[in-house]
Amino acid sequence: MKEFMLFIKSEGNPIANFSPEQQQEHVQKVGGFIKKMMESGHMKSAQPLEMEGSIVSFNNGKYIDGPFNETKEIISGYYHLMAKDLKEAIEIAKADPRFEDGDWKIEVRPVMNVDGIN
Amino acid sequence: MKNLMLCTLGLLFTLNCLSQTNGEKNTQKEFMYFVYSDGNRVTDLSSKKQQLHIQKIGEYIQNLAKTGKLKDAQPLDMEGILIRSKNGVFNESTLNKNKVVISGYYHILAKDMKEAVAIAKADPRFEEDGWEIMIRPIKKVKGIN
Repeated sequence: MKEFMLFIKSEGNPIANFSPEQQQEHVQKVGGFIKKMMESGHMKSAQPLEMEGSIVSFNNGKYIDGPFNETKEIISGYYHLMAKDLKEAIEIAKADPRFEDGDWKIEVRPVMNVDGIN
Repeated sequence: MKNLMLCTLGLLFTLNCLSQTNGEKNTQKEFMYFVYSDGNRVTDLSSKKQQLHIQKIGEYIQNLAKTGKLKDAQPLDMEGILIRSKNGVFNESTLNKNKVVISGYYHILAKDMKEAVAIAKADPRFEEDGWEIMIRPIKKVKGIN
């Protein structure tokens, strides 16, 4: 089994216009998917992120604390997966029921093993 | 009598320290740091500089772990797939690794965003140009995490 990070992306919040009942149903569906993946040993962690943040960069000898633009495409959460290969990680991503509710993107990235880091 | 008082003071001091440590742990919040770079900044370095970069980052990570600030840290391969769905149809595209991409992440515990920013600024990768760290608080959602 290999490790993968799946970054869930969206422009704004695709379920922001849902009624409270529909939002609850969405959370239940996604929660059920996560539980199933955890039980099958495919998921190590799953976390949603707040729609806020800070950006730190360094240029010309100075730190820059940049603003975070939440109206652009942003990462709204992530999954830490275990899969046989990239193909299986993609299949798992496509089974996420969030795709039934609005426009989402998932970036699938293999974790790299580096001596001295992880 | 003097010894008894000293023992009591010692015990009170220990209990106070323990309660402060527990209090600190309880008030810690979780943050994800997404490390962005334009292209692979590390493979562009000479092998000697690559080794030095890895050593410095490794020490920074070890220090975060020792101080109880680190939950996880991993570098990512500079390849990947972006899946998008529109009207029920999936589309897959290969990640353009020459653009700005996430090259790794940290899962950090910090008191607040101010401390999270200070921790990020101490990352020795900022001794080189071309890096950016996006700090995002983890949200608690019942039924998810």
